[in-house]
Amino acid sequence: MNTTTCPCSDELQKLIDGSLSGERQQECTRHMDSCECCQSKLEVMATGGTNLSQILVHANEVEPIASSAYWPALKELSADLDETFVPRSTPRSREVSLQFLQPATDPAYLGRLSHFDVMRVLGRGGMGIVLEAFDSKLQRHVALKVLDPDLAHDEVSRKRFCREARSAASITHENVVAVHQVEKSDGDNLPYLVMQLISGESLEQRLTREKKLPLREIVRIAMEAAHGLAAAHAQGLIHRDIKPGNILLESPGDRVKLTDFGLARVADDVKLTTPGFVTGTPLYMAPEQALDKEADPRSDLFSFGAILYEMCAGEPPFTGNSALAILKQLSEVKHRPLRELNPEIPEWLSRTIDHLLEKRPEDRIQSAAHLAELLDYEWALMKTSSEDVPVVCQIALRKRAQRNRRIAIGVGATFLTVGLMAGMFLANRNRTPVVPVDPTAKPALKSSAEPVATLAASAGSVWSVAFDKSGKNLAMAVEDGNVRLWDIASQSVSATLTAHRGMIYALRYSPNGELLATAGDDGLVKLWTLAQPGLEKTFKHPSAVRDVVFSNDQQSFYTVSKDGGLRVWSVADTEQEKRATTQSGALYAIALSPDNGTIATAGSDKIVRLWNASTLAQKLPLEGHTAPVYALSFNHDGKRVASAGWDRTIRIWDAGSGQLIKSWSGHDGDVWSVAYSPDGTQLASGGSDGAVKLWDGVSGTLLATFLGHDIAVHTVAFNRDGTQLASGGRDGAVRIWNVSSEQ
Amino acid sequence: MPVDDSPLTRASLLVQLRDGTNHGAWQKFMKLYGPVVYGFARKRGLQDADAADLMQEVMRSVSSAIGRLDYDRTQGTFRGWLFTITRNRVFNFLSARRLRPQGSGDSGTNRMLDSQPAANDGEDVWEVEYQRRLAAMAMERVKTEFQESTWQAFWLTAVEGKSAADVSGRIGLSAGAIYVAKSRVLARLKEEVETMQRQQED
Repeated sequence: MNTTTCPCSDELQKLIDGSLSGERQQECTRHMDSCECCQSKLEVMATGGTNLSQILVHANEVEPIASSAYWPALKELSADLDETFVPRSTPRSREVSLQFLQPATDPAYLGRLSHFDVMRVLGRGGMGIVLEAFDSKLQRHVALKVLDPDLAHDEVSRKRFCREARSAASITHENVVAVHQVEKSDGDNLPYLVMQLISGESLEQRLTREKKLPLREIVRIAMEAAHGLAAAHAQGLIHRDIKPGNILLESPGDRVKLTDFGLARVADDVKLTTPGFVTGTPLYMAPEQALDKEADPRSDLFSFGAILYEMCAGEPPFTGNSALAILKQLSEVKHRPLRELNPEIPEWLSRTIDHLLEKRPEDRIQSAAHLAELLDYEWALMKTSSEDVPVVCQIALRKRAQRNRRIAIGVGATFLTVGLMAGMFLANRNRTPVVPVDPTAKPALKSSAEPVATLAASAGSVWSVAFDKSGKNLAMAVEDGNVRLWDIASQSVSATLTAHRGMIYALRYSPNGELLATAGDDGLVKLWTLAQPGLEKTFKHPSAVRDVVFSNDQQSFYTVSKDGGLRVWSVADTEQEKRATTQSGALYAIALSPDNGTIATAGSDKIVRLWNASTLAQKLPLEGHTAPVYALSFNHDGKRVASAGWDRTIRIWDAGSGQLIKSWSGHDGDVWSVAYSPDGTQLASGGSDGAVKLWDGVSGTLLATFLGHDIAVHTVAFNRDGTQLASGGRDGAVRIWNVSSEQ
Repeated sequence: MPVDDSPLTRASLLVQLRDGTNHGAWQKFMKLYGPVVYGFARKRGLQDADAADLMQEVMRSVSSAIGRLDYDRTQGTFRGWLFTITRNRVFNFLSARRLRPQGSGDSGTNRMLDSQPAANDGEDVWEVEYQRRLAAMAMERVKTEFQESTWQAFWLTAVEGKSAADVSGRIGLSAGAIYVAKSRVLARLKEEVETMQRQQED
């Protein structure tokens, strides 16, 4: 409307291409509001004068409606063809043609491509040739992936190859083969990728040799591959053809690396419509891909599940003697229970694989990041498993454990002496982690073997727990996205808040007890007014929120999220945070000093950081942890801050000087949670070993160990007078322990 | 018999699929042409169930003849050959019905009944059905390359035929922005359809 002169044709073309400058683009777009002449001109240019516009009108109706007799007829037809069709299996034998190479400068080489001296052919894939070459400019060995000259013929597939390759090049992750650059050969404009050269073998080769892999290897390979996949998905890139051949095991060290991101799409394009070819390896294809629907990140997760299954079972989940039989199986038939084929596979892994192999994408584990986290966690647990304990001890321990699973080390130590080893056994599904205890250590001063209450939601892991102001009620954040509010005396649920999609990582009551904040994997923080149900407020974050804490005046709250963001919000303003700062790496924990002057945050970068709570100016970095930090707590006067995490240590820091006061090994496994008692005399911790420990808040001496959670404890919290401690974790229950501090 | 998971078997499976002589290829083929055959039959006045049966018959005859079909022919010829089969089946169906009247008062059907199968009878209808099918598949393929709002702007105006003014209120883009979004998707679709056509003709 502001622009009255019509843009020229050249500019209209640029408007379509999106290559106009921002300002000019806005002007032209405004002009389009009202100029009918340009509106139709734009359309004619876009369609290149073809009848595409007419064709498109109601083109969505070209497919028969769902209730049409067409669909049963089609199904019948497919079934019949399945019976009668005998696939021809004469592989096309094709010589690797290297005609695109320039003559070699040195007879030792096969030829030259730009400044790369090609040494040998590494392989031939569906869409091109892989060469080993020496980069004479950067003086390093690289792998070149050259688009098949047959495919490169087509301008559009060539463009798409470059586009996909460029996005693949944007992934930088230790579990993804690095794509250094995308190049074109000088003469015939043949596009090729310059990639990191990996020595080692593919998972396909390894599986051919070994069939089933050892459990530890399965979990390690899966964990690393899941991280690579998560990194790619974070860039919006879908692999579409995950198979053992695309998972490389680098030697030495066996680092896992994924390769060929997005390239399946390129091959797809070329083969698609003549009268049709299914690309991708059907053995690992997701049902929606088999049905030729759009692939999404969850399709990669299905393929991932199929590979995991093969590593465990020694055969893929869906087999058959023709490709169509496999396609039918994977879209219609449930796979054979994994533990029938390999009883040694633990229940959690078999359940995870079942979850990945769900036919409907919406029923699967929803993200590679989530899968990676789960595998990290299991891997961490596994490293503390009983595999390192002599067999005799294991049997004796198992018998012992069957009789009584709740044993306190302190008072019970004498019962537990098995051979030379004193220990405790924690039933952990079908694994048997053992927490050894130093036999020379003094028995703990005090312990209470039985919880005063056990609140079992049994709806998945408990990630956070909090007592209300009165100490009579307790809120429990559960993996299924719901908060359960319990009446402790009657041990019954008084209310359930349907709070988040996916996990709830944290919940906290406001100091006056009127508000409850919950933080979820869905990137939301919700504030619940407990007296007025249904009036909750929602605060959106760009990624999963891991922890939340209120200011004393309950006018504001602070959050940390997985994208490394630290944010201050006013409870009154759901639209915009008051202040925010972002650092690299995920943040997992936040604590606020009692005077509200200092915030502590910690996360994947292993550093505990102190911030000015009002300006968010960074004060001190507290460095020392050797792995990600999961938990933080200030003591009553704010002079000390405790931290703990993956490196199993608990550390106490001077919050003023940043000096480390004390550091000790807290649990035999990751430490997920720490909390000072309200008077600062005690420090509670919970860990992957299933134990809840109570330490002297000043000296760090072990006061008591509480057992009862069979598996990992994620959260511990004191009530407001410090007489009770609640703990919750993976077993889906919260246990309440008496911890009166009077000696 | 389960497939042996040696790399050799894996490789040959892939080759089978890409060879164009088995079911994977058939599924793609039916995905493209099934709705075209069905849609053509409906346009010629057949009811849903009849059109579905006819599609099945055509596909069966193609599958039995396909072994003898020379793949060196261009796909254009193949499409023409498929049209011939379809047109003949439709004509036979309608002739049979003329002999045993169904009492249909539908004037469109009656007009069809009176017609004779001339050499090019309905070829333009067939061609439009084919192009619409190709466009629909192209839309499926390029959809994810665009932001949701861009796609909506295109879809509501170009496919559902709504005016830019109507759509503007619905998705909160200015009319100008809607025209620009539509033209960008159109340009991309044109490119995609051309690629698909070229591959058809290869």
